[in-house]
Amino acid sequence: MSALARQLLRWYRATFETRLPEPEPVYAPKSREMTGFFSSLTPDQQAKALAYRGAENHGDPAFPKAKAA
Amino acid sequence: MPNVGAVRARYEKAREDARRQAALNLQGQIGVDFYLSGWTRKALEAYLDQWPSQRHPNAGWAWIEIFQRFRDIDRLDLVLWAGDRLAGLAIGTTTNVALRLDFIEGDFREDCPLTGRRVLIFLEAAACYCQATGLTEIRVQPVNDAIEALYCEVYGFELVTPVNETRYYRKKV
Repeated sequence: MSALARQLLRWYRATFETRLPEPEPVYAPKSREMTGFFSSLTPDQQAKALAYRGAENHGDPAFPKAKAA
Repeated sequence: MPNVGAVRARYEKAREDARRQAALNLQGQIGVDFYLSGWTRKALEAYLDQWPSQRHPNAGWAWIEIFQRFRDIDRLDLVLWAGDRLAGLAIGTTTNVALRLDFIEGDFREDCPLTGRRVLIFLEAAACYCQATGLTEIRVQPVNDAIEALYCEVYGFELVTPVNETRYYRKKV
């Protein structure tokens, strides 16, 4: 009889009680407001960044270069 | 459990939002009309038409091959335009916590209206992309002497030297 009661209780809980939430995805990064990069600089850095005219290129020097036409 | 299509769409939206937001954030500061796109057919045609094979000796990479190789679902491909002029190209890939800018090349022509500000624009887009996707830092790799002052003194990056690994510049965003 107690076994039957346990089965009924299990069925009742599975059917009517609040379900557990879905598990969190393993990798679920939280997005944030897109404030960007420039706004994180100090006023001095911002002025230097806007005035800069030097080298900008970077990358793997071993990567193939564009072939001559 | 999201399917691959949903994840792909989420990253594509993040890329589009980051490109658009970067242009909005910097347009007024730089004072030059520009916009960012991904690597599209239009970008390919402009690259072939406008950028010759012989370019700056410290760059001149084969960008068609770069964009073919870096095709991860969460990559950040950036094409910088000043009107119809191809002003710069960049590609970034992700780690668990960071977006790493692997290649940046600016228009070699001396009259490019965005000379000197192209890295700033790419960093702006990279930061927006990090913020949209939950990443927390930007890395620049590989390091080289020509850009060390720019990243460390102007943009506030730090040089990281891991044991038995390649050095890189890093900044939290």
